[in-house]
Amino acid sequence: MGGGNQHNTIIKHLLKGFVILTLGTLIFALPAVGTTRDVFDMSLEELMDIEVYGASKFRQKISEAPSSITVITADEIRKFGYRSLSDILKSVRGFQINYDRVYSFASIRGHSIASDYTNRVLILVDGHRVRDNIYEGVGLGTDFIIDIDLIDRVEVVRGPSASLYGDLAYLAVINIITRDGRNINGIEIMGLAGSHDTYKERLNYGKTFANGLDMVVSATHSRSKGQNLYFKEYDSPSTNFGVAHKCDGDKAVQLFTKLTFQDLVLEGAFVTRTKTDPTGAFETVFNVPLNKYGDEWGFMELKYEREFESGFSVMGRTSYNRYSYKGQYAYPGYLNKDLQIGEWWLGEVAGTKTFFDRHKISFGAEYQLNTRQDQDSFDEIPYTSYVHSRRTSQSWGVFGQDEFTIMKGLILNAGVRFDQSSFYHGTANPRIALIYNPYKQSTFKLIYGTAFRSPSAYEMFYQADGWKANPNLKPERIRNYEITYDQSLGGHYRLSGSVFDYKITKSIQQIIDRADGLAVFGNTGDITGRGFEIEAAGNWEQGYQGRLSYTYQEVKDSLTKSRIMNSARNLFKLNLISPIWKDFFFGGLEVQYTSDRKTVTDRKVGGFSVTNFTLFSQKLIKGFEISASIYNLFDTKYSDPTGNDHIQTAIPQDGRTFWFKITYGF
Amino acid sequence: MAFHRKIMVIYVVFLTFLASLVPAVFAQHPGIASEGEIKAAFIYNFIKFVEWPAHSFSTAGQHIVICILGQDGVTRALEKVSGKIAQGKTIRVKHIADPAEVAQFHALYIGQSEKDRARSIIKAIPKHVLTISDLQFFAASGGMINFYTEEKKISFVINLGAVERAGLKFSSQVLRLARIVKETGS
Repeated sequence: MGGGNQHNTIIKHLLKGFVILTLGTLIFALPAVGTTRDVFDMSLEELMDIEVYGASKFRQKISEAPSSITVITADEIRKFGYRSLSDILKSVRGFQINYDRVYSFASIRGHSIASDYTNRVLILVDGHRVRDNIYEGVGLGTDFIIDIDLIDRVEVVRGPSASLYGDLAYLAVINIITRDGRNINGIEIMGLAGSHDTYKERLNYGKTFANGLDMVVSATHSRSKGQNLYFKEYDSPSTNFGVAHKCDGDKAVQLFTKLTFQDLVLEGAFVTRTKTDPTGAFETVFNVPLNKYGDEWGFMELKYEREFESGFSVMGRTSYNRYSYKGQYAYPGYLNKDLQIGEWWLGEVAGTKTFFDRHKISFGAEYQLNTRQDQDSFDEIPYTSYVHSRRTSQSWGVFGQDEFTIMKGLILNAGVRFDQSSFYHGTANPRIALIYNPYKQSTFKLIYGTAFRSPSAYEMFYQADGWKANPNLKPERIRNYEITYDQSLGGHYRLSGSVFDYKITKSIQQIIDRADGLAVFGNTGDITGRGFEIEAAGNWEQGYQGRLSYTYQEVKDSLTKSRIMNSARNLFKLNLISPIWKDFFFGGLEVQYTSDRKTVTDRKVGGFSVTNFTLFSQKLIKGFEISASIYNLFDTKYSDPTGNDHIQTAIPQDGRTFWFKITYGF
Repeated sequence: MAFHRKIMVIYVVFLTFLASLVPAVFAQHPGIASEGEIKAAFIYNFIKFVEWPAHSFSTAGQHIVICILGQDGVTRALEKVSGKIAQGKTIRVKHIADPAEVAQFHALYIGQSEKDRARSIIKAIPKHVLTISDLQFFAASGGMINFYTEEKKISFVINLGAVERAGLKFSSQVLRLARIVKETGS
């Protein structure tokens, strides 16, 4: 299979689709313009009675949502110099990110199975599920489907939300809302240079046209040579004394387009990324730049969303999605390859209506048709096939939720969703939340919910040399109790706290079968997690803002009663933005502490703290935004635990690095 | 690959078909004005109910001129106010770059893009000019009329101190609908 050929084909298809759809939308929709009723004939009283259909559509006040929520804005992304979604999540209360020098894995609430491709957290882009149908995973670094600077805001919803989203809304849901053309308003050019020969260029175009059509087009290209890395496990003369020389390269292209016309949104996103693996994972030959992993995600979605005068809101969406993975692994004398291709269609409808002033009812249904879930593992010469799996499958879910205002200041939010798929039997998952506002500035939430994580096609059917399949895998389940408390103080300060208690059953993990020594995914045992979080946040005039949070969590294997691997007991995060000189210069400071964690061999890696600093300037020269960042300012040495794929039990992380970035908009 | 292409074609045809339904759906409903247009209509109403000193109209003849500084969702919609009649005079809209240029005119709308220099703009505005903006804290920091959204509906606050200092008067028809704010240290 020629790699370049496939890549071109999907780009061609995406482009073709966009062109046809754009033309279609324009040609058919233009005559509709001009039907606007003349608001200029209205009196002030009449104007004051019009409801605005804007960003608040389908939105909920954070204080009334049945979860604990954190929002990160584009402004913070710029002022903290965030490089990727994983950087953003590192700053969010309770999150822990692992990097194995190819993929980043996000976990929350201490439940972090290494190398799970973040398939216990659901990530949405503008409400669209971003995950593939092979690994059920998502990339969080240069392999994330959206360029970081296209993000308008990130909403992090903690706890299981399977009652609304079904599969994978397990420990948290992260919804990423992209910028509008109006917000970009013209052309934006970005150039970036960083340590270890890292370069990135981006071109954005965004505009709202007179007829109301809002358009965003964006392309990003990035590449990095990376570092020569030392791994003590390979410190012997035959493996270059542990140094992987020029084996850390990263190349990526991201494309994005969004057309919004009245209630219709057409959105497409695509990423292709190739990373060289310097770690010698899967017992490959160390210190050769031949171990390469290439991932591609793409989707194109049409969404219709409208709120009628009667207060009835509807949303419908349909999308085509594609994922491919090409892995190349060097063994003495031959190359082994993985080729996984997934294609799937998603359709969803949802509606919301308020009845009797007190019951806000939401309901909906979702369907996913996996037209392709291909997995191949083979040696090239001599040709040996380990797995040649061709699957198709489907899943569907229906949900309903009632937001019942019992009395002023007291809301009962109860919802349930039923899901079924070719890979698991029907499962119903509820969430019940009691939300109490005794005073305008205080909110208590009492939340109970369950969720499930279905086994992925990879976990069930993948085989390779030393690996075996397990088609009998069952979904993993979680049951979660949570109490949260939020208090605003004088408009400038906010205090939040939460206590949680969860239990996971049939935890899906990779194990080695003692009988044959083969690696296999199994439903291992139960895990219990308990902990609390506290956070203080402030927002002052002149642009000062800050967040300070502490998380304590104790996550144990029920059988051994000991802490699970990679789970840090204590997390501490500090984020501060301060104007330095008028509103020309801002400083963004971050400090993140993670306490010790266990490795897969039951040893410990030490706790560490990382400090990042960004100097950001926005209008020294008209149209220019300049930022300079230092990550890991004090060059702290630390390692992240990793799974069975590596000889290393922990992978050393980056020391001090620099980024310099210029954006010009006109 | 052939299968893949076929699906793509079907999909595109399907979506185009959906897109073609758009006008049909909208034809049945009165179009909805954008937020910017609604705010522009508010501004048109304010212009109707402000009393400028008589000498304000000596240089511009029989026009009431609204100046626009910067841009946002409202600024484009404001073009539509141009040519409308208020207080027996024709309204004109003019884009300016420097707040001092507003001296011989009547009203100034400051767009979101000027967020970072709003305070210095407010200080530079000459007398007899009605100032309006969608910027947060605009009225509290010396501006006159400030929009805000409450429960999906647009409302406005008026800083009476600033209105009086500028030598302008508002009709009670406007004042009774507004929330009146006091300034915080300027």
